[in-house]
Amino acid sequence: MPSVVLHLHAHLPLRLKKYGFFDIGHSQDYFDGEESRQVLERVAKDCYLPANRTLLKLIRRHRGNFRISCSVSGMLLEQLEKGQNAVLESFRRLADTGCAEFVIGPSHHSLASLFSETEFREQVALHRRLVRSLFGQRTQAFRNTGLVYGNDVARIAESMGFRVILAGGAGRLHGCDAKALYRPAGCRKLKVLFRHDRFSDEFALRPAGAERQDLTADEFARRLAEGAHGDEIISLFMDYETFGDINRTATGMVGFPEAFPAVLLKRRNWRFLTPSAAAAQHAPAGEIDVPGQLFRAGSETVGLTWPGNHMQMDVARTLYGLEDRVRATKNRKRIGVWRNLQASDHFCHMSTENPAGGEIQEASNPFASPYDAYIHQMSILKDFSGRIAGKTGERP
Amino acid sequence: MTQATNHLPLATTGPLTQRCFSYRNVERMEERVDGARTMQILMFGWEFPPTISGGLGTACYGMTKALVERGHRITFVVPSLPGPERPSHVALLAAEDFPAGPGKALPEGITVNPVDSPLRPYMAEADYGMFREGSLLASPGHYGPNLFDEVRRYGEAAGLIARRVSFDVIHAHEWLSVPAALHARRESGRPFIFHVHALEFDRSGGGVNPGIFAVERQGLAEADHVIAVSHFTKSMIVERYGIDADKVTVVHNAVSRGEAAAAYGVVKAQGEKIVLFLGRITHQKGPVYFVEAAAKVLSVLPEVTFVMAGSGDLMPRMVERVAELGMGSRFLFTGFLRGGEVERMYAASDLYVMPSVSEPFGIAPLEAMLYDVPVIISRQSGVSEVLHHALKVDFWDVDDLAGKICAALTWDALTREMVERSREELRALTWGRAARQIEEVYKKVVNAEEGV
Repeated sequence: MPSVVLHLHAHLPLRLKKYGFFDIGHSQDYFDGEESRQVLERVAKDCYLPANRTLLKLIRRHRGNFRISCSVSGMLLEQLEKGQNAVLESFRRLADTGCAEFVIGPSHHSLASLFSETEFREQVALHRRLVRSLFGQRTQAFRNTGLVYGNDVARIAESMGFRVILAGGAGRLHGCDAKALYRPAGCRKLKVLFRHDRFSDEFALRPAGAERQDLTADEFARRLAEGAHGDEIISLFMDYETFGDINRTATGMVGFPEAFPAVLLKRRNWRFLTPSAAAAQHAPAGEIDVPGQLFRAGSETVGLTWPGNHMQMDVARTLYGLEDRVRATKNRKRIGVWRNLQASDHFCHMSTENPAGGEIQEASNPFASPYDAYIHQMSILKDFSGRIAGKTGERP
Repeated sequence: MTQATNHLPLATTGPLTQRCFSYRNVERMEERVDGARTMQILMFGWEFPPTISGGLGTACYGMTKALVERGHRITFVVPSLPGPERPSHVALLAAEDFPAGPGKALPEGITVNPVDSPLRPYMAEADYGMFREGSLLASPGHYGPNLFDEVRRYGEAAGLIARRVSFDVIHAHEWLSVPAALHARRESGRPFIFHVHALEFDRSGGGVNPGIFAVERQGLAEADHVIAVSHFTKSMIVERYGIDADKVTVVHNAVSRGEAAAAYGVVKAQGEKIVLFLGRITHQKGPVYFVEAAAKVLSVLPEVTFVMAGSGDLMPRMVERVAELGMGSRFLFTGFLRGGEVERMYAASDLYVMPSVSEPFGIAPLEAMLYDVPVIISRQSGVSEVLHHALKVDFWDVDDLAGKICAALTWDALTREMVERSREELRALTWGRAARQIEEVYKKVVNAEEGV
């Protein structure tokens, strides 16, 4: 019986304020609260609310046969708590159906797994506590920021009690067809579920076919049926934005996400599973050994790949170089600022891979160029480290 | 009138007309991969290396070289200027007037014809004094009425040339060449392409000279097609001169690495940083913003040295302002630099700044990048359309400029990334690419002419 694991990811960073070299030492307003609030309001209205409405409708209509998993970054949850209760409520209703599993990740959408195990563990624990208090779920499913995966990430996740980890980059692994669960090297209980890149991208982007017709739900279901046999699992992982973008409905895409589950469930043997259910019901097909850090294909277009360019490396070195001193302040506010600066988005904005045609990130990128992004962040970090030094009594 | 030829195998035989016909080189035509026809181009300009004072001559050199490499033949006409060491430019032999330096031989296929005229696109500082008596600069800092006589004379001479050489297309650079091109078109009936590198609006900063504006407008209106060096310039042509946008094609300039580029291993004092402004010190180039930003930078990074290289009518004011700000010891004026001096200056710099108020293209940042110097450019420049790995500022935003100068001098990762990425970007910005685009324009006008 083939299964689909549908996973939707929601995250919005706190936007950085315009901050230049001459602000160092003069201003500790690093984040643009007003701008962040406006962006959130827009995304909530255009994306989160309509998407959750659709999902709730589908869950009710299919009476337990349609199941999904969501991840909402801690950074976004904190923003929702402050000003978008309606969105928070819509997530809560999804959680209450019992058909939506909330997946845990680093709370501040950071790349801490690359730089600091301590910080990584703390952020995961933070997010787990937050999800538990908001949605009453204690889940055993984990995803790292950007679906970044490696043996170390798997090891840490297992040691923290997770039983399944969502990952990307299967296309870069030899002999991994991304239609089954695997056992990470060195793990005993944890299973890894890889994103199926082709189907996920087809679902998200719905590219025009040969007849220049948009992909229909029927056609997509047919392709899935052709592509999966036996007990295989198709993992469709995507961002909330691609699922709930109302701009698409304007171009005649009405209802693709809405129609697709019904079409697939009509094919007798198909079903939807949450990641934890998939892990519980399937044995691993083999062992996967990833010594380094695995980024999923296509992540370089948004600038999320490692090792990064000179600027990304420099900011990361500077940012995580502050870790001990930030902790030493024992100041919750300062630690919070430091964590907010870790959001992966800030690193994406420094990508020089595609400076001319980075339309994907255009909408969420407040910077004119990757160089501006770097200058902003280094200026902020310079100011921040000076303030910490003042606090701990050492010289900056 | 004299004609000059350099390194042309057939140059010694026959009169000019005959020689031009002998250039219909069958072998070259066959070399063309795409089977397109090669053309004879009559080009009018102001300056041609090695006698140049601005970016135009360099641009013409690179452009013509690439066009010739694609099989086209070019007759390049320039007005010549009698310098002190050249008492009689009229009797001048062209080979002497445009001596081919060791590294800068004229590409095969380009003929340079000087016309007797004291025209120059830009004046070096020394020249201002020289011409002031001759009333060329009677109105301070700008062109005098005599200039228009010169333009006319240039035009009439061009008519003579047009009668004696054969060509398919007239390609004229800048407004000074417009009367020449119009004469040539009247003589020959060949299509005329007006290549706009700068407009009076860019040069004057508001105080537009109505005579120049009129020549520009006439050129734009009468040209069979217009080439603009940037979208920035194109929009100005469309909006301020009322020209149909379809008639204007954008061809961005490129830059070619000089032979000596790698030869300058300048040794600097450890930790000393040099920030360079290199260009005419005129309103258009925004030197005042550079000076003000320098003062801000020095308030936090007192060890930086600023260099203003070039000359122009605003130079005295800049010197005064630097003194007033009390930063004379950290702010140097070099005066007008030539050839090797320019290259050495680039090589010695840590950062190049072009805060132009209005810059149709602006080739200098590309030249700086050839020396692995990171650049800050104003958003009000055409070159910012093609450069992605440069820091950009609005020219009036002195705070932003100063902040970015500090950032570039403080954080190595920033400049390393810019320099490495710029190398890749420069490889794509070739004159070969520009020549292909220009060729498309030639084809278009010639086909329209022939009713194809």
